[in-house]
Amino acid sequence: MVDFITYFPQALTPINLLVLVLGVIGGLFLGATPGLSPTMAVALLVPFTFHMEPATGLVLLGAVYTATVAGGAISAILINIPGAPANIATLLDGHPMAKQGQAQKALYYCFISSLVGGLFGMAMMIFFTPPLAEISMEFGPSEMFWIAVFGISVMAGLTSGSVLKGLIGGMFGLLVSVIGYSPMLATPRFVFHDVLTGGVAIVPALIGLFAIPQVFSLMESSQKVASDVEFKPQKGILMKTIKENLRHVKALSIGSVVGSIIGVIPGAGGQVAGLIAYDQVRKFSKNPQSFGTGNPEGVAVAESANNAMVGPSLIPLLTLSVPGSPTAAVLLGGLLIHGLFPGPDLFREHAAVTYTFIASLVLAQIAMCVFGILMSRYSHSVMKVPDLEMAAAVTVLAIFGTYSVQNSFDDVVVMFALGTIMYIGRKVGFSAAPVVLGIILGAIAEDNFLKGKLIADTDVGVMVYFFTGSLNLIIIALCAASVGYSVFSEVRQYKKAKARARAKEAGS
Amino acid sequence: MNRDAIVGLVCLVLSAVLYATLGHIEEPRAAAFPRTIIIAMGFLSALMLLQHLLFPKPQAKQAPFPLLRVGGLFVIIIVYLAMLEVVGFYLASFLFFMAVVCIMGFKRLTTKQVLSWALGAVVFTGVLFVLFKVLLEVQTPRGLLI
Amino acid sequence: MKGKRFLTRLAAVALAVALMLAFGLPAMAENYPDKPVSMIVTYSPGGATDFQARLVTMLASNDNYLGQPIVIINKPGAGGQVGWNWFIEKGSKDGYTLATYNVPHFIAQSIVYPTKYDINTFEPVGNWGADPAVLIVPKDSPFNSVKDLVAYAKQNPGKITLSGAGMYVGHHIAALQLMKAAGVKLTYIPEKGGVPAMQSVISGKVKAGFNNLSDSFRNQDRLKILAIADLERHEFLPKVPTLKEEGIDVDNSSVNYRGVVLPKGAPPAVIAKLSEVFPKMFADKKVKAKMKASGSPEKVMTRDQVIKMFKERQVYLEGLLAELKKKKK
Repeated sequence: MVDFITYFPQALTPINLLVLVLGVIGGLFLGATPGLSPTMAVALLVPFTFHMEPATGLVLLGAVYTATVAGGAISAILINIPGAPANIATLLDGHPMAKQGQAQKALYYCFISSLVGGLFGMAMMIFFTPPLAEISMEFGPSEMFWIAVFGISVMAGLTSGSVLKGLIGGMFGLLVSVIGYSPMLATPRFVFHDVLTGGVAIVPALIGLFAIPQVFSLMESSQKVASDVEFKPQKGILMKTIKENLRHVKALSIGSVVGSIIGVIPGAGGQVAGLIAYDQVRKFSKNPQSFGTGNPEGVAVAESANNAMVGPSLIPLLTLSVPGSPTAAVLLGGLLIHGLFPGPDLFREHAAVTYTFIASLVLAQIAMCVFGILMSRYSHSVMKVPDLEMAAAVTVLAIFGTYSVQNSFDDVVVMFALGTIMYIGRKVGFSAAPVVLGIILGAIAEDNFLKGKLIADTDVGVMVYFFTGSLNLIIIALCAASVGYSVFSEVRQYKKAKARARAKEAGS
Repeated sequence: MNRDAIVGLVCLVLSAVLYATLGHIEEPRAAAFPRTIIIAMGFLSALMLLQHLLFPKPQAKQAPFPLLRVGGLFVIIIVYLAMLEVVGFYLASFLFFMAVVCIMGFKRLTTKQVLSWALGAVVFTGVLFVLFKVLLEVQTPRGLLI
Repeated sequence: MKGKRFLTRLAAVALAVALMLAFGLPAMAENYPDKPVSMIVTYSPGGATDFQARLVTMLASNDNYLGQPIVIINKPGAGGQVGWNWFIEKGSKDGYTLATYNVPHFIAQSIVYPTKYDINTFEPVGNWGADPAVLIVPKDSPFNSVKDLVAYAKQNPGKITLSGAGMYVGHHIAALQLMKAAGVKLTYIPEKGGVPAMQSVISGKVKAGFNNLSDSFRNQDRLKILAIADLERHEFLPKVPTLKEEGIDVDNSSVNYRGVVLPKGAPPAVIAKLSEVFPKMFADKKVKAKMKASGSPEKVMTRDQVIKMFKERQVYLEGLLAELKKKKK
């Protein structure tokens, strides 16, 4: 902490500040482009840092990482397509808000909550790195397996409609994740066509599942008369929104805490942090029905979780040289080319560079909020784009984003096919969020189960391996609580609906 | 039978078909996870089918489906995909944009409107080109031209 | 009215044609390369191969090398199979699509699986690195030497779990060699890449592992490095013995060679040009300094040397994997 304050001014050199601001603005735009996930954006920029001073290069990468995580929310809110998997939860309430003419307010909520979560995450990183690093190493195959199961238990709650449909959609996603070569055993599975050999990558699937149904629905609606909602800049709502936003203490704190914890777990990544936090807030809310219809609390929890994960996700990387997420892996490359080996040495021998990097991450959170809010003022112009032009532009972006992930035309075909299936699914009441969650969690669940079983067979046996150990038991208990509460609230709602129907009958 | 019951039936059939294809997986350990998921999916689908057969809920009337517009867009996208690797991303995208707005928006078609669309499409693909192709060297499908 | 609509559409097409001409036709391959060259990396961004590939090609745009940048494209999946299959089947053969190779990974895969590639479909143009596999155990492990580990394994067949970066990669080959040479049975745990495999060892979730020398070197505070699967000790780790010195007859067949290939069918002029330029570029002082700073062992080899190495590995691996292959088919 003392070191952090000592080195803080070094982040403030003019050149570093300039790079920071440019990185943040660029990152917001990149993040808003579907397909350009934070990982991709940082990977694109690593070569630029070859020729920079180590500290400046890292400031750039840190700024871009922070800003792309928040930038993904812009497209989620404005055009109903998450910029990265982490922004799915933002979309659930953010887009309905935008459709009601409150795009600007939704974006303000998004950036303010991002700042709160981001600063919380950075504080966790600055104060609690050693214990958190130890916790992160506790997660082995069995713990990761249960984390995935916990994620699956969240699926039921992500549909505004029926729980069963949420679960079936989730199972479908889990099956999609199996397509291609099994990562551990290299056995081909469900490769019905050549384009599937590489499996279904998460980002193309995400784009397909959200963007393509959106494009088709825009086409449906464009024959109707334009909606009577007027999209114009909302003036003078900044202070009011800040006050209102900060009053959602429960959403912000659940989001920040869940995001930080999940950030520390290597391999889980922030992709699921927002959704898990969102589900908790919704479950324990007084009126869970309001979620998914434009409740700003939903945006607050999703975005605070999302950005809270940034700081902690770097802990395993910086202290143990184990990148906990794909983005951290790319950042590792950025450190290595400057001869900075992560690990305890980083804080001893390269303290100046390391703390400049950490300080710039804090500053980037603030810059992200400021520039994000400035950009939000122009959000109404996106909402004003007529449906027809929007449909065409979104299709182009979807294809661009998909192709650029790994330069694969196969991915584009897969994306469009999945999207078309999802459009039909959406017509009969399925939602995209559980499907994406299934695709993300499938690989985590299966790999860790197989790995755990291999290890357990040489030792204590599968039952003991997966069902003992305090961390395992804690996560299992959380799963049980989550499922139990879902069933309970489902029954309660069913009873309520029945009572209402009866009352209606009696009345008529 | 109401709509949700049919959806449940379709999912159940899908699970059965997928279960039948499991035999193609050579390594038994690699088949275990998909098998578990398929069984779970089949069980949930059966549950949904039963739920809606036994306790059918009255369902709201669906609005007529605009098949011509959605189907039309579907066909244009297919053509666009086929063109991508022939003429290249940027040009194909420009043509796609113009095709969508001109064909789907034929009611609004005037010279002025077409010009403004064309301008919009050029600016849009141009921004993509400069930002990603020139500055960041992102790869897009290459065709004859760019 | 209809005519007018037709005219407007015609105008749109004319505009498109004008645009085409403005961007010009692609130039021919005479003055190769006249546009950026793509290079397929068959592993995900951030892995050792990806990182080193970006590093050794950063000078490509200098005029004395290619004069054009090399753009890295990641196509990960199935231990590299997805990317290499794509490279041979769908990649362009005009010299503008290169790929990185990892030996022994691709050779072993081509022996065991029905892949689209083998040593005859690749035209190597240069090798930049050689990363030997090292045998690592957690810091608090009871094993302090290879002998301890082998003795325990003899008493408890299959009880030692040993992680590596996947199936039929260098680490797996090293594990197979160790088992064969020492006459023990270990349980190999294939992981998704070198990083998770390393993490399993550091956190003690597995009892041992084979991993890249470069990554293990950076993590030596949190690990015990027991031996190196190479013919000689390495300059980064002079105190670590080779497996041979420890009395286990394992050669350098698992050493992970990294370099660049063109697909078969690429223009001979391009093969000649790149075979000349790449080894020089890899040996550039700037590249060498960055490789060393990042703890990545460099080994520059020319086309002829690489072809020879490919052939030697092919023969050896066919022998080692013969039994496994029979089981598969």
